[in-house]
Amino acid sequence: MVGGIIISSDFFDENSTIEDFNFLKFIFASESRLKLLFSLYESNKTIKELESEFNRKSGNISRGLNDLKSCKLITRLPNKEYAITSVGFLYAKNLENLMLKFENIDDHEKFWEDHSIKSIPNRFLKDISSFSGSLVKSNITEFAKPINVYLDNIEKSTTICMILPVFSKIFMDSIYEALINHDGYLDLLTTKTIYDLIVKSDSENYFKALVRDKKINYHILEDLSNIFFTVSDTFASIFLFYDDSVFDNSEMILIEGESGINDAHKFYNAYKNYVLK
Amino acid sequence: MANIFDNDDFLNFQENFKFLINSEIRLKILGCLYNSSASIKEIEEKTGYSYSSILDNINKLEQKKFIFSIEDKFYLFNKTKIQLTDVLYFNKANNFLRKNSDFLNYSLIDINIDALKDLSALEDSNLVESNNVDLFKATGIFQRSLMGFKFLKGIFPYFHPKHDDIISYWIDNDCTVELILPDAVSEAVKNFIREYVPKSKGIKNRYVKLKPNDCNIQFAFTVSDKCLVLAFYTKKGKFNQNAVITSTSQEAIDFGLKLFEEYEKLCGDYVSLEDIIYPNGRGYNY
Repeated sequence: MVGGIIISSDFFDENSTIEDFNFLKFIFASESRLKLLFSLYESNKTIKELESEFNRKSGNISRGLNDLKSCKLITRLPNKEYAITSVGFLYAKNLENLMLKFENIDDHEKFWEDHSIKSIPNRFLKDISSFSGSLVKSNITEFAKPINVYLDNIEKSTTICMILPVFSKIFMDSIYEALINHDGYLDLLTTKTIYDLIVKSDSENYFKALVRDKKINYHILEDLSNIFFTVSDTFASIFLFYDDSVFDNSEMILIEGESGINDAHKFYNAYKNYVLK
Repeated sequence: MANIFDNDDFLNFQENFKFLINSEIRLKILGCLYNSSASIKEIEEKTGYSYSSILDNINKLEQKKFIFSIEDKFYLFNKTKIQLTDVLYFNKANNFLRKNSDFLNYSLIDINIDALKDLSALEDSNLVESNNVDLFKATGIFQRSLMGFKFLKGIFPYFHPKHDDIISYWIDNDCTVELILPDAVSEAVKNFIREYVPKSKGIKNRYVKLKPNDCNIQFAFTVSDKCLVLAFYTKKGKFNQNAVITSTSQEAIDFGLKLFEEYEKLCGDYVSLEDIIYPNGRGYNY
């Protein structure tokens, strides 16, 4: 059976077909094609410069350049330099991003394998692989390390967004404290069960008071993915569940740095839009 | 960037990636397992390949740790599922680029914008070009995107010929408008607003905000709750009024919002409609 659908639109945003892979196959079929593309992604170069960079004969380099030129990924300038085209630039940028995503998932392969991702909609898996973070794990001398690191970060946070499919009074108390101390703000996506537990455990009425003062905005959803996700102005974190829906607080991916936090905010906003729809 | 080829991660990526995409049958097996487990017999029924060739490729995929089996069922590792998802979205970006390559190669691209690293949301977009029977097709689309929304964000370089209708729509409706404009355009909008407001009976909108295009952004777009419209400068630095890329998909709108967020950070402070109308404060009649 030649050609046809690989994954149908029931499981993915529109059908994915064999034909979609043809261009990728072509680019990846030759290592030198890929290297030339990324070399010109860096800067314009003459054929001589490329020859010396790759230590290859001009015939090989010319063949690779012609292939890329026929795909409109590069062009030859009047000064005889080769330059990446707009499409070539965008292609290389998207490919570079794909490589980084592969690397991010490889970095924490065991974390992803040990937990369930079934309840995370497929479209958000691509955002998850953008997160480049460090893995924080419990160990025999620091049993509650992920929780402690999480609480330390919450303490420093002012604006917090959370996907909350679990309840913990310790978490909630630290969040109230952060909101009160920093005049902060919490945007919360949770389920009715978790919401009821939050309200029930809130003997000092912090939650209600913060909602009244517009310091907490919450949305109760019928169905929430099994991902305890937090992003604030200072960090982002991911806790997941085991396959049997048991929450795992012994491992957390911690995302720090401006770019990672920005990506985490984008993920949260996109997920929020998706579930509120 | 060139040094990415020197490390083992890249070689590993390239090897795994080639193995994944180079075989039609392997891709189809992975596709069968994408959303649920399946036995060889079920894969045979779904793909039409022979039992022996499926078995051969299943073994290879198992050896390379893309899939695993429990009893007679095969499953994708989570890592495989996430990475396959990434590739499928990459293909969407690639489809967009292939479809619009001539137009994009004629256009100026802002290389510093991070959102461009994932163009998968634009796969369903359409390139609309003016032609000899409809000279203002592209500008018409751009104009229509400026009205009839709940929120509008965007960057544009010129004062639209039908600005009267557009700006009065913003003022008279309950909508949010956040725009990045060159100084001259911004001044013209403010002047129009100052003149229009005393004549307008019921101003509903107090959420128009303007930002200066003080970093000379050579790109234009609007994003609203309805659609995304992208317009480009040519490589010669001239605004191309004759073509736009449009999409109404939610993914494209989300992409537009990310794009706006980035440009928003590059430019100076907002001036609000309230500041424009009441430069000396609200007064008692507000």
